[in-house]
Amino acid sequence: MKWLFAAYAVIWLAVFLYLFDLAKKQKAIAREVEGLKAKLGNADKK
Amino acid sequence: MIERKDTIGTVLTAITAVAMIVSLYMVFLFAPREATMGDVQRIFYFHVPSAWLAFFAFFLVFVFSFLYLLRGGRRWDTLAAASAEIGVLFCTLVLVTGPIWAKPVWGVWWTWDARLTLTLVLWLIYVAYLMLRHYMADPERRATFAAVLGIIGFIDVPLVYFSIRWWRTQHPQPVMAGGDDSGLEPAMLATLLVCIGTFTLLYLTLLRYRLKLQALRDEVDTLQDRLEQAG
Repeated sequence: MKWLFAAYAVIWLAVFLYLFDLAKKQKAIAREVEGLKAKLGNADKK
Repeated sequence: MIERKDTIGTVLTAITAVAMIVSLYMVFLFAPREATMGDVQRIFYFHVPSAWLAFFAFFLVFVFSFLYLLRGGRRWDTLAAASAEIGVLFCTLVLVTGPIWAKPVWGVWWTWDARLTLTLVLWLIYVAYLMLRHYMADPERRATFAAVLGIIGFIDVPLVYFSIRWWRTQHPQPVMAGGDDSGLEPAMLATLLVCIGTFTLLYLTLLRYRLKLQALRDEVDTLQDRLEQAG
C-alpha cells in the first residue's frame, strides 16, 4: 500500500505545484500589467 | 488586479475535476484487485495515462512546430512551448511512478531496458527543448531552433511506444492491441479508458492556464513598447 500511496502522492503533488506555480506567475504578471497601464495613463495625461 | 471572465476555462476545469473524482473512484473502488501484484498494480491507472498525456503533448509540439516552420506566426510557437512544458511534467511523472511500481514488483528501481532508457532519452530531449527556449534571447531564432528540435525530438515517441514489441524488455508487454496473450479484464479496461480521458481533459485545462499566462506576458511586452514610445 505504501508504494501505491507514494505514486499517487507524487502525481498530485506535481500537478498542484505546477498549477500553483502558474497561478503565482499569473498574479505577478497581472500586477505588472496593471502597473504598466497606470504608468501609460499618467504618460498620456502629460 | 485584472479580472477576466473565462467561462470556457471555468467549465473545463469543473469537468476535469469531476472526471478526476470519477477516475479515482474507479481506480480504488471499481477496478478489481490484480491477482499477482495486488493493490500496487493500481499505479498502472495513472502511470499509463501520464505516458499517454506526455506522448499526446509531444505529438502536438511536433504539429505546432511544423505549422510554425510552414506558416510562421507566434501563435504556433506559443502553443508548442506550452505543450512541451506539460509534456515534460507528465514524462517526469512516468519516470517517477514507473520505478515506484517497479521496486515492489521487479525488486529494483530501474533497469536499463529499451523502454525505460528510451523514455529517459525522450525526457532529456524535451528538457533540452525547454532549456533552449529559456536561454536563447532572440525570439525568431529561438522559435525556429525550438521548432526544429520539437520535430526531430518526436522521433523518439514511436520508438518508446514500439520498443516493447521490437525488443525483449523487462517492461510488461502491451495490454491493449498487443496480440493474443494481451488484454485486460473489462472493469480494468474501463477504468484505464476513463483515466486516459480524464488526463486528456487535464492536458487541455493545463494548456489553457499556460496560454493565459503567455497572453499576459504578451500584454506586458505590448504595454512596455507603448510606454517606451510615449516616453
